[in-house]
Amino acid sequence: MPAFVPLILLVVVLGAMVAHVAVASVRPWLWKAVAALGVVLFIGLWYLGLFYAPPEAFMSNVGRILYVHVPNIWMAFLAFGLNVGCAFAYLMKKSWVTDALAEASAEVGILFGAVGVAMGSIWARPTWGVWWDWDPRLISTTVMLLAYVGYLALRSFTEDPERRATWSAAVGILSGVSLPITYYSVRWWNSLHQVQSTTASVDKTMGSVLLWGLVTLLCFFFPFMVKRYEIARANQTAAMALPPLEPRPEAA
Amino acid sequence: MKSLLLALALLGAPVFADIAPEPAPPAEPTPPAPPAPAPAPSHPQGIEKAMGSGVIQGGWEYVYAAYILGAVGVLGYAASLYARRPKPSENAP
Repeated sequence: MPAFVPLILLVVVLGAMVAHVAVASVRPWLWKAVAALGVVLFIGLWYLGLFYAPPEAFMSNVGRILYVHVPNIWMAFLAFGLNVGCAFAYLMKKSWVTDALAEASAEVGILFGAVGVAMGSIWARPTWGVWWDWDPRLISTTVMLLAYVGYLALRSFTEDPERRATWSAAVGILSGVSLPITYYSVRWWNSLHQVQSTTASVDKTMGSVLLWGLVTLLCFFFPFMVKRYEIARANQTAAMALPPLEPRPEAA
Repeated sequence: MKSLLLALALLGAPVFADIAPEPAPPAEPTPPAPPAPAPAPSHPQGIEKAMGSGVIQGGWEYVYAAYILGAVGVLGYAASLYARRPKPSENAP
């Protein structure tokens, strides 16, 4: 597979995401097209990851798990990073759009992060010999996911929409501190998890399959965000449309 | 005289028979047998092949499990989004 194929697909998907934000007329159907493309790419990822990619030098065929594990974690970082950005944006200028985006990005990030961690555990069993190892990367990733689970719990427990948005924005920024800690944990501490690879240290074939996995999950990330954002906006509208509580009638 | 002493010894032996005999020295525990030496690895192509190449063998079940988990995660979340989709009446301004 030529290396430029996943690059072109990446540009197409990123362009679709920008078009969805910028052009209102394409919003009803563009996310469906991207989701359909994602299904096709996902089938392609199964073929590329299971058959096309060469076995890794030491992990052999178990290394094929990386083509799905790493992109899931990348999507989690993307979602949580978007959450932090929306949190800052809301605190600077209150907007229900940014609040809904923050809620959507947190949930989508938890999905990809949890799936990525589970895949990592499946990979660790034949390579490290254990399902779980309390090393810095795994601990920091777990803390990061639990922080955002707490973020969603806070949102569900707070009834007042404006208070919910403000409090969760603050919690989102605090939770965002875990992002660089998780990313650099393999460099700052002695971790069993390997450090990040670079384009120079990865075989080109493997790199192209990894990029294909990134584009595939991006094709799911985008419609997930669109639909989850719609749910969040609908919940906001419903919450603000509630009539005020009736005052208790005074005793005669 | 000697015969008298011998007679006394023979006659006195039963007298001292009820005295608890000296306990027998405890039997020393037999040391465990040394483990049998591991058989030398053998391989038709020599010892280097017998020691293994350091590459994980097999593991396809883990690969399939990971890929299926990815598909289940995506499909499951898509289903949850569909189930929670806002109804048309909820979209009314």
